Amino acid sequence: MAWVVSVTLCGLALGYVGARAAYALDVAVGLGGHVVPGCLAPIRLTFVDPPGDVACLRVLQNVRDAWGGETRMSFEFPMVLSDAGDCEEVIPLYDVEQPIRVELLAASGMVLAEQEVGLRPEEKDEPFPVGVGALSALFADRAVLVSPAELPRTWSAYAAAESVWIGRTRDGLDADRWDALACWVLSGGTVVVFTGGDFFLLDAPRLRDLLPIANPVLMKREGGTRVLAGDLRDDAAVLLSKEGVPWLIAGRYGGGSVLLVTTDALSLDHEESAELLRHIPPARALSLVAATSDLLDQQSVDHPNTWVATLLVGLVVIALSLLVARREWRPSMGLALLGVFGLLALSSYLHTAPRVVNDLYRTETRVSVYGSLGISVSCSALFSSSPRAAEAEVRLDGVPAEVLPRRFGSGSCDLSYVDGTAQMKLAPGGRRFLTALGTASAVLQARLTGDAEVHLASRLPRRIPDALLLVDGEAFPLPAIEPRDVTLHLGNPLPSGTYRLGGESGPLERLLAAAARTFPLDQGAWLVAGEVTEMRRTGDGLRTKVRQVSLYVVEVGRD
Amino acid sequence: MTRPHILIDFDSWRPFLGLVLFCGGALVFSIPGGRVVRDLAPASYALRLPTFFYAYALTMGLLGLALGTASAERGERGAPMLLWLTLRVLLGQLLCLPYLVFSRALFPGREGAVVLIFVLTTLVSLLCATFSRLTERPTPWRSSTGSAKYLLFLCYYAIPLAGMPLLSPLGAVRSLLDGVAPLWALLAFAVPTALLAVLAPLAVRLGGSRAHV
Repeated sequence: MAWVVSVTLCGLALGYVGARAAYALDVAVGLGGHVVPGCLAPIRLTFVDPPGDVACLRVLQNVRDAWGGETRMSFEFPMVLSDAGDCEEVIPLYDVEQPIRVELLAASGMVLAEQEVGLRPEEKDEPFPVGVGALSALFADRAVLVSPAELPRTWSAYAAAESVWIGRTRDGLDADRWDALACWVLSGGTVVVFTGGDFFLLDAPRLRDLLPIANPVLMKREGGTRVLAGDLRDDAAVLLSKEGVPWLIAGRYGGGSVLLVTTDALSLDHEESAELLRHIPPARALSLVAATSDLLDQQSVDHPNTWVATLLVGLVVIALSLLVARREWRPSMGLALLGVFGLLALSSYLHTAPRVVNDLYRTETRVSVYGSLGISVSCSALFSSSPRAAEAEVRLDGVPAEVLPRRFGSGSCDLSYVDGTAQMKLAPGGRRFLTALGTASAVLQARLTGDAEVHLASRLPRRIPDALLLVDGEAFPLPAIEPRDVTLHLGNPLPSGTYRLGGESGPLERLLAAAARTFPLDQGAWLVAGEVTEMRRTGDGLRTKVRQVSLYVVEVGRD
Repeated sequence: MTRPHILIDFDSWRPFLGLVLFCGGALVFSIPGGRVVRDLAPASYALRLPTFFYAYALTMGLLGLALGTASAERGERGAPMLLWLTLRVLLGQLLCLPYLVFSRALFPGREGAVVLIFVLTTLVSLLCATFSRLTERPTPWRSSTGSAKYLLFLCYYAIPLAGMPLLSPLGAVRSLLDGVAPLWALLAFAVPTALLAVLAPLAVRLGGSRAHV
């Protein structure tokens, strides 16, 4: 009997080990294996054999503060394989001292394979330049070098990059990676593209969209060096020239910069490389945390009026006094008593019905940026005024990155993210700030059709009440944007320097000020529009007051 | 000497006034201050302790004690005594009704708990009134058992908080607002109900005895 049990147990153990071994995987974290604590980072899983019954990927991360407080974060994604057979997701990394645990889960939730990945050797303190392909020695020494296949396909994965330099590659970049880079530049990133004779290795529709020149053609400079030339776009500027031929051209795409080096990556000498390095601006990522924190602080609080409560006490005392003052007691007094206190109770109800205290206050800000592509940057800020620990659930555009406090109680910053929804606990009086980066269809477009006319095409599901058109620093107020195509005549501009959107010093203005730090709204033509909505949600025994502030920033084309 | 039964008069209104003022003050104090979220941080959650309900549970108990004493002073006895005590306790509840409706705004989604607290405090107040009536001699002068009565009252409210909060009206109020499991909620009601079931017949019998007149 013992023999049978032993064999059965051994068989089960071997089967278990075998099942895990069947999903041997290789895990790569970060840009070229490098991460910056607190930033989003790509995580790529490569499989020995394509996983058949793996339903999702879970990444677990323990984070410790300097005082020993520990919190646990879990990120779960449905398993989606790329054409190359790998799986790429983006996760925030907080504590490089702790390894992360990567698990492959079956639909039943059973762990099919798991692996621990250490991060410490690849830590960087600040965002860093990323070089793709072959680059000259000066660049290669300064950048984290990655192959084109290692470049992430999701724009939020570039959060740790200061700039991306694209050098000589054998096969260029695929469309997904160009789109990811374009979205990142749209959000404030910086891309340097070395072209020259390598241009046609890189050439792609999205690259042409990004380049600060139109109609690119290859030319030969004296000495035989091949340079890329073309028609300068409106917002492009030649930064450096050699023998009258531009070799560094800067252009703008959304909030970011595209630097075109018209020669190839290996033809620059040391001085030219050093000169070029001085002209590369770091990425200016759009951050909504400070603005959202301010807006959360300014969110109005619901509660009954203290003076009304005091008046109520006074009325009850008066009613009691009148009751006592009666010398004779008659049955009709009982009815009067019921009537008076019923009336007071009804008054209490009518006063308090719209002033019920909330357990959670939530401010959600979102800036949607539309060019030829669309992205969204959002931030959800929560504050708990509940006397008990409150469980909150937040829908997000992408995996959330959080600003963690320097010191947290064990478990107080736990977070579980499952495919677009984050669940977390808030201690009484606690705050959480979650930021998410996502892609979006460019559902709002604008084009200047003349000196005083703008054509708007809105595919948004609703009307946007507040809008401004900014043309070279001048602000033209627009009527509400309806969800259809419309051509509007521009009126008189607002006084110089005023970008009034929504109410004065209102949430839209605060969000616009935050966006203006990344997007050069005083240059070129921009449509900015926004809306503020407030609602109260009740669920899981919690009452939440939600304020949503949405800003649309659209780069306006010109006919 | 027995005076005619009366719900409330000039001689017996002070406990009701105390109830109305103390609960009203607690209600006003329970309202979180501040116009915006910034004003709430970081102490707002402390104000959202069920201060009003604590005050309500406490003063309803004290009202019961005072009503028992007043009943003894009036020389009330028998089943009518119990009926009038119940009516006076319900009058106290009626006086607090506007506050209870108001407090709904401070504890949204816990209307069921407020109803349960209403029932619990009625039971506790009636228990205290009956206990007080039993310990008082039906004479118009002050009873010597007064201090012991209030000491026992404090013990009932305070001691269970150390180990079995549900047995104290204050702990029960907190637990009901926190959404305690139904079985535990029953325990909160079981103590005053059981004690009342024992004391009420005693009060009817002893209070009805001529020996006390």
